[in-house]
Amino acid sequence: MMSGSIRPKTAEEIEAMGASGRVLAGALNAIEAAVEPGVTTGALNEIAETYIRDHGGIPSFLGVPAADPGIEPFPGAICASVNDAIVHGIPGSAVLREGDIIGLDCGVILDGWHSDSARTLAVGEISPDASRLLDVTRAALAEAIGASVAGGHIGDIGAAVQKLVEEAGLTIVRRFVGHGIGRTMHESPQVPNFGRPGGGPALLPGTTLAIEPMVNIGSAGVVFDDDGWTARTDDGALSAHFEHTVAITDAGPRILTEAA
Amino acid sequence: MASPRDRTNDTPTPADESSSKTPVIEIEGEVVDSLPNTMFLVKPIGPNGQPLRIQTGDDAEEEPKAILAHLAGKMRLRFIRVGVGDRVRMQLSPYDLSRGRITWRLRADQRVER
Repeated sequence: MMSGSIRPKTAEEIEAMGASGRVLAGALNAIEAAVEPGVTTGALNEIAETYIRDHGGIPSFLGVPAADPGIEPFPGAICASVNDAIVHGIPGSAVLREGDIIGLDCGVILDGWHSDSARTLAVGEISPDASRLLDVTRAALAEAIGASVAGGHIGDIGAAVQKLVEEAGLTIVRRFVGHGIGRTMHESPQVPNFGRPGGGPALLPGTTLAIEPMVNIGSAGVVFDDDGWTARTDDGALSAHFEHTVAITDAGPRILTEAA
Repeated sequence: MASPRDRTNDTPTPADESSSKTPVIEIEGEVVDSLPNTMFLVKPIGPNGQPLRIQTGDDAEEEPKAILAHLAGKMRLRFIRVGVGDRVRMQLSPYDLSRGRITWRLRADQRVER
């Protein structure tokens, strides 16, 4: 599915990916502002798609082919993964309720450059357990980005996530991984959320990665809905997901999916 | 959008390879000489990069001894080129520690596994 060598980007290419990432961050901010009890995930999808197209971008998730045959391409601009959905929830008529958590994952193509980012949000007041899950997952992403330095290895990123998450008593989803990103959404290398320091390919300046810890409260097992996309925890416990597109530079990691 | 994990490019771990067959000892080494018939002399190297002494006889030798190893059939079929200086993973039979079977050539970025 993902093959080939890691191709580092030039400074200009990283700037272009940053422009793509700014549109994406704007879209995520727009849907974040709209998240409240009573809103449908389909409505959030429309907000994101409109925002991206208004800013000259293309929603990159629309039409992504499924990994397995016989499953329709992804039909939305965002993945909306509510509560026990880990990733790849299809937006539609589902209505958000007070106390839900919703993972919002979105991607943009601008001038041929991809960006990919996700955040998990609380709908109204959520339980202390859910709140802690979001805090740990958000912190795991920050740790992972901190470990994304030139001269390091892919394994350093996974090890940073694994250490923080497991010490917090939560579990890491291993079925899905982060990925290189650039002219296409999924490039080499894979970026697992677990690993050994110093393992895996070396991190070179110019490497651009979508780093995305997915953390569960209970089991790490994954089951799929009949739609072939929505991945849920097999025990029905909550799952959270945060993601940024990050460039590894000589000056340290640079988050490309932040608003200006 | 998260990518499904693809394990086809993962390095097989020793557990994957030595299923339930004859027990093997798996070690890494550095090729020190290339001999005819895809045979190699391999100097064993420990997990931390130190030379490993494999005692093959009764006499404890001074120098860590190189092991005569052949290239596994699968690697010959796939034309994996192995040369002097390469790091390789090899399997030894517990019954004859002086002979080995090279099962993996490590790329530069795969050195010092485990």
